[in-house]
Amino acid sequence: MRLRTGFGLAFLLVSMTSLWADTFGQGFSGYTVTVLPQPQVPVSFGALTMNPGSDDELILGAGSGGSSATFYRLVVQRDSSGHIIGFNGPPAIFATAPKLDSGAAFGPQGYFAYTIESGSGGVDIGSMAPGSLVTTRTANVVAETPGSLNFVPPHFPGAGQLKILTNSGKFYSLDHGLDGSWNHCGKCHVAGDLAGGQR
Amino acid sequence: MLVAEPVSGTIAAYSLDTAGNPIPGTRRAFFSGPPFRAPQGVAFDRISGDLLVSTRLNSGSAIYRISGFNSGPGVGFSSLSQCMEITTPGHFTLTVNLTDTQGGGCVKIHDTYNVEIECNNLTIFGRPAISVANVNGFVIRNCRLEGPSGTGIAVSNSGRGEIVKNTIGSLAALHLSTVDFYAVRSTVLSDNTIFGAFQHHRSTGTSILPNRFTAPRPTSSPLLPGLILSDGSLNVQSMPFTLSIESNVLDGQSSPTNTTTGVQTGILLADGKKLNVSGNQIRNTILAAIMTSGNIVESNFSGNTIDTTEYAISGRSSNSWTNVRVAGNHVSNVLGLFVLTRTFGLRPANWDGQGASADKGVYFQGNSFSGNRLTPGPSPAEHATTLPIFDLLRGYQIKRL
Repeated sequence: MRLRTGFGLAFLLVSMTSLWADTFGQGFSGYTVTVLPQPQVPVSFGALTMNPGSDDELILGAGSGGSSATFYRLVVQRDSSGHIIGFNGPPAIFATAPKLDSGAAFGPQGYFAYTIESGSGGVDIGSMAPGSLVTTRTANVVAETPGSLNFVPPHFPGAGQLKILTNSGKFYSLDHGLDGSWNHCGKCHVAGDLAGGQR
Repeated sequence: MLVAEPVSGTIAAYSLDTAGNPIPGTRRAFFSGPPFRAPQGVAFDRISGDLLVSTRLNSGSAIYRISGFNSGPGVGFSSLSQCMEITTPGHFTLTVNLTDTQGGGCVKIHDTYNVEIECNNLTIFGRPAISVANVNGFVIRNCRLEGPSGTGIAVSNSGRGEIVKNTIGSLAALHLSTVDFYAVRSTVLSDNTIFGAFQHHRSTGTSILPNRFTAPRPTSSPLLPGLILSDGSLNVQSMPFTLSIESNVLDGQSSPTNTTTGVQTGILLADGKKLNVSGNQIRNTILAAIMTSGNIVESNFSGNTIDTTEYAISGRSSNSWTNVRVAGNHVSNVLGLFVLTRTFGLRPANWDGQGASADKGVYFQGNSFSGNRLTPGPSPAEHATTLPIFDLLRGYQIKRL
């Protein structure tokens, strides 16, 4: 299988604090890694995000890159400290999303946006209105193939902006489109170049 | 910012510039494999602070959990000796009584995580006394919270909280909203003494157990609509919603014949799913001990002890029930056990002004009633049960205006 070059984005103020000391980078200690039990969804996982409407629901893209790719809703199981240790019950379909890639996020108005793999009819971002079980809109937003996207959470610089990272390492910033109505990236700008994106 | 790099099998960390964009020269490898390969999606879990990472291999797709993000330095112990903003994690101990002289609230906790307030039974006076906004993880314990009117504790857009062993409000002052939740997740309200109403708006995962709620008795008193009021209309349509109200004591300080003071209902629930109201003692209310309005789905009203009100459990207004279990409630001194009516037609989309879906129908299906006991009081009950769902529309001529 060809390894895709999509990117996932997550925003955090990282604390410098290891288990698996040989796999955490220099300066990062105090972290632990756990592989969660396999959810009962098709392989080739793609984007994932937590459902903002529930602390106990994980939205996971499965069968990514395929025409039957689908986002599933997984109910998580937690230990007494709140850490996720597995999944409860069968997965439910959140929405179908053909060719889904590695980025997905809920926008401030509840719209769900995700990246579409390259070569998919000239579109690169899909979105769906709250409650929709299918993609309600697709668009060609950036010139390159996007790998991932995320909305900057509150209280971070650029809060509310949509950030898109392309497979070639271009980092785009959009000030609009929060309602899922974005068009081709005429108003956005290349905000950075993470050269060597295909690391 | 963390970036998953599929080809190298690495999660990389970048510092951000002032516009929120990554600074290329700051890249550092945070985590890499093998066996970790082909990372794709990444997301933070709000509850634990853990990072979740999906990998994309036909032979080995997996979800990794990386823990330890909140274990860094910065969590300390501090004295709380004046009204102030708290924007960093830590344990704060109240050392003197505080009064807000500036207005706008006394202790304002916002935009942070893991904050604990220990009041040692000292008093904070303000409106609100304590506010919590955009906070993941908070504890408010052993506080006496009062104010001229309005809210003792206001919590919004926050989660993983505990409000424990506080006395909130006072018997002599009217608090229309003594405790106010808006968009709050997974929070516990436990062992508190509350004089006034708890308002629960568009919040989920709330546990209220066991607390003592008492209606205040100010000299000039409008009626309170209820001691616990919950509105989950957006949630019931499209999102999971849970609220558990267990083993509380609620005293409305009124009766069906006293319509000028106290509260109209003990618990007023407007649009909710997976509501659990069990083991509560509810007494001395005007209209009902438990009243619902709107769509009530997959809920449980059981094992409550209800005394002195008009109707024990009642549905009014835009009432609609689906898969509601009512069992083992012990009721005395009421005019009726269950009264479920529907006054209004279907609500259109956005009936609440905040994007609620349109009603699809009026339901009374899948409900069960068992083991409920009615003990007559000084006045005989009018009827044990009335279920005239559309009765109030009878005789009305409906026409398009």
